[in-house]
Amino acid sequence: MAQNRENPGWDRLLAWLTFFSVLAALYLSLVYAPTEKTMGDVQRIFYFHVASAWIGMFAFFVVFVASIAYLAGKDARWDIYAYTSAELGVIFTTIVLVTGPIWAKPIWHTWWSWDPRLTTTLIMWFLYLAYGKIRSSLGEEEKRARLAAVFGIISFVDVPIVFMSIRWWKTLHPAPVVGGSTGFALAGGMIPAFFVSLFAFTLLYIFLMRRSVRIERMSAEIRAIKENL
Amino acid sequence: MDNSDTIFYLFIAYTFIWALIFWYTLRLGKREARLADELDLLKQSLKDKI
Repeated sequence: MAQNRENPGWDRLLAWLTFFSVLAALYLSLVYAPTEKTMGDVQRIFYFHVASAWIGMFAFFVVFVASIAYLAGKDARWDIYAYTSAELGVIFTTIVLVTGPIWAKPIWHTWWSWDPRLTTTLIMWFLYLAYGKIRSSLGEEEKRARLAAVFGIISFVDVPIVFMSIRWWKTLHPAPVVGGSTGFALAGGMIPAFFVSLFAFTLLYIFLMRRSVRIERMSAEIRAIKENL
Repeated sequence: MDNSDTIFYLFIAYTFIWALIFWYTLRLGKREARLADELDLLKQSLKDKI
């Protein structure tokens, strides 16, 4: 089996750790955490919505760092890290962009508002979709990696804007959980649910990243063998 | 809004999150298995050639 080619023990351990932390996060967010007084149970979307947003932005930060490292050393490994992290960033940001409106509908009475946080997040999502398109539309490997790296660096400009948007502008979006004007804006029982959800999604990101990197390496190995045949 | 109404939205959101993650993980697994088979086949034909 393919998944047993590299460090099978670590991969299995990581898979089980991810699985159990996801179960713990589900329990804490759906059962343990208290129901929010004004929003009711729909507020429980928060735990995975925010965790997805953080991991999405972290994934794009990895794209940024890996793109710089690729341009600096032309090592193909960094190009693989950048590409796989961009794909995962898009997946996690998709969760943000879908669960946000589902949460907003019963609270704001609208699915969408063109406010700064939502708009900049949508722009970020489109930028990294475009990053994937650029990669798939170019044939020559080195040129593709170079252009993708440049695009990966430029696209990152939007990420801090997304992060700071609820601090810089007045928006419909709730205030930041950490580092906002009210300090740590969570009730006691919500804190473990939030941090365990964040931990579970961090492990999920690492698990999926390792898998995607392995796939890209296999793909590169196949291309190299085909060229030699 | 009644809390039972908001549970419907909670259900939709959680279903979407886990369906997407499940689909993506499954897609990765299938791709990995297909590439592993192709790689084994290519390595075998390379060995036969030598």
